[in-house]
Amino acid sequence: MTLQERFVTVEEFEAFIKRPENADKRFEHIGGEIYEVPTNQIASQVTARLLLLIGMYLLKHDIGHLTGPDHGYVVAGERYAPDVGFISYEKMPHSTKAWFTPLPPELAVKVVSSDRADENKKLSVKVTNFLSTGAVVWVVRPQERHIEVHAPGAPVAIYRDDDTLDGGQLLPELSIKVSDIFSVIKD
Amino acid sequence: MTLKDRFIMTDDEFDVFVKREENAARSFEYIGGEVFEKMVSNDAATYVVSQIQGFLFVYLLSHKRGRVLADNTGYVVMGERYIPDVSYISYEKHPDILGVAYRPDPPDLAVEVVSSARNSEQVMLHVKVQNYLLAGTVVWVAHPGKRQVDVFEPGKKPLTLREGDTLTGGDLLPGFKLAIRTIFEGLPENDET
Repeated sequence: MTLQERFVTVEEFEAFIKRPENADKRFEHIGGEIYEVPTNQIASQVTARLLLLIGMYLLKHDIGHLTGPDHGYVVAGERYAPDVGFISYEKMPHSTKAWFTPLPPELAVKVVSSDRADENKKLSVKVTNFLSTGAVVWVVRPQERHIEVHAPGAPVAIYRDDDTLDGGQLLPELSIKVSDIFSVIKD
Repeated sequence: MTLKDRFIMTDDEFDVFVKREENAARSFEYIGGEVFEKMVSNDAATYVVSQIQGFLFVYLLSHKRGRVLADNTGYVVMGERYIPDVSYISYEKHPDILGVAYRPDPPDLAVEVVSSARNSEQVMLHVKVQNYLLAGTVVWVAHPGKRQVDVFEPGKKPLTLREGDTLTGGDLLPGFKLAIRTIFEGLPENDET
């Protein structure tokens, strides 16, 4: 949803999100515009499952910060709120009280509710900016039952059905079966 | 798109699939390991395609650097098969017309016009954009409903151009200038695109 047609600066964005009427809402600043981040039940369930699976891994391998959909990051000067964000202690030793972590995440996960056109429209801008900062991006599509993995300098890889996602160098030994993510959807 | 409508195959299988007799008159893209048929677009999107293609053609009349090709020209991009709405190929990288459905090398510039962000093929647009960038292709994504053009150049920050801005050709098409207002003149607003 485009709230304002005109271009807004980062400062205007920061002021906008702190308005009392916006306290319970999540916004992103993409391509100079403000977007609200809504979600449907399926996308929320999938996000919860991903947080659980990555969270279980981090219980054993305490190597970084994991954030949920209510937190944002400064990415290439813009403000993005990935559904799941990971940043290693190596990059960021301490937690922050900032609304938007001043550093980009190292892994950003976007769970797309496919019934919303506006989530698709600006995805290229977001993914490109994430990649330019060195972040790995997982675009998770519950409707298509697949996960697109974007890593800097690599062709896009799509994981489906019986494939297994791995955490690469970022989350060594993390292994997630695609079917374990989408099995939360009962249709 | 439902699961059972999906065609997931290898690129070799795709090449066989598109050559089947019953597919002779159809156009397919191969995106993220999956086959998508290019469908009829809406008139707002095709108008924007014509505008951009036309202004590129006029520019190339006086700057003999390459060719602009219409929709339905396919390209092999990072092992996949894409059909941009408009494409530009320079004489330098692409001296010859090859007489093939999918040119073996990616274009210098690919233009994609969003007709509906809900179409299954357009859901995959950002996959195409990333693979184009990796292949060295500049991508312009036009949003008729928002009257914006997102410009993606390999290694650069994406740029969103709005009414009042001017689309320029950069190093690829030096001297090319097109007002965003001109591209979208007279089109209705549309939340979808």
